[in-house]
Amino acid sequence: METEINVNEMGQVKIAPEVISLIASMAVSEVQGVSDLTAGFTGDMLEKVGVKSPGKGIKVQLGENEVLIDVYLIVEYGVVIPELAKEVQRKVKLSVETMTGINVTQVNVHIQGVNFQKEVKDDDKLKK
Amino acid sequence: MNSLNKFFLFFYLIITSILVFVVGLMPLNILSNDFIVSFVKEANKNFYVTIFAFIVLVINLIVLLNLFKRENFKLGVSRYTSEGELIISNEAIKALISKSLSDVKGLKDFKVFLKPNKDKLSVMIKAIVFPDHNIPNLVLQVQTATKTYLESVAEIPVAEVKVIVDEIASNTKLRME
Repeated sequence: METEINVNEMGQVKIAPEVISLIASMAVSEVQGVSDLTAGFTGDMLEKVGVKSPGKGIKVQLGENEVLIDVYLIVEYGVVIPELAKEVQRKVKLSVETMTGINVTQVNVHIQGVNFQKEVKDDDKLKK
Repeated sequence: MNSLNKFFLFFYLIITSILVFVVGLMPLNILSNDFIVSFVKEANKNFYVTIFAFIVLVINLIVLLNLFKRENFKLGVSRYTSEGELIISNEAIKALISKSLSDVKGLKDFKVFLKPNKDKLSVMIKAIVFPDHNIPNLVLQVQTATKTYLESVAEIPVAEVKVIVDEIASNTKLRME
């Protein structure tokens, strides 16, 4: 289902949910402290067989002229999670609203896990 | 996976195990050809076979759908902000607690259990500790580390941290050679 954002004498402008997921995904990747987006069971299985989903970890629910976005992510160890979530919400809302003109009602952030690898690497460097 | 899904999965595994066992016996001639033919003939007439097959099919579909459900990840602590909801999964909270306890000396192994209350989180830690450590002090360290870390990093209010010392790890291992 596509959402209609503008109707005039020239025609209609419709935006597919995949486009919104991609915009949100790019906005999330800019936030420091986000390790990865999680695709869920189906997405993980597809990724293992080589199918890439650009908007993985983003679920978009379209309304008439509004959108609700769910973001599923893994955070780096050491970040303050509520602050990171707030930043994710702010960036996603700003990016989607600026690029599409659709009103973002909610950005729900789901923290699925914590990545400790970066910290382990830092510890290894210190030991060397 | 909740207990209903576990039950379905259990039921499904039992049925497939029996079927595989019977199919495995066929080439060994333990089941006579006559028995198999008469069984198939009986099954052709019996509508209970259809009902049974339908039940198994429904169970398969339920198990399959549950695998693909994203709600499996949804359990955790949630809070509402002006921009939307923040949900921290139980797995993420457990990972944070495990990390906070990695610096506590005297813990050999531990398991974390979470129980969300109305507005606060209750944590239970089952631990195996090394000997030669003062257990009350160790427990206090575990409680402080968990509570402080969760409240500072995830801003999750912690109601209580129960620590159950399950076992004392032995210092020496006897080997027979």
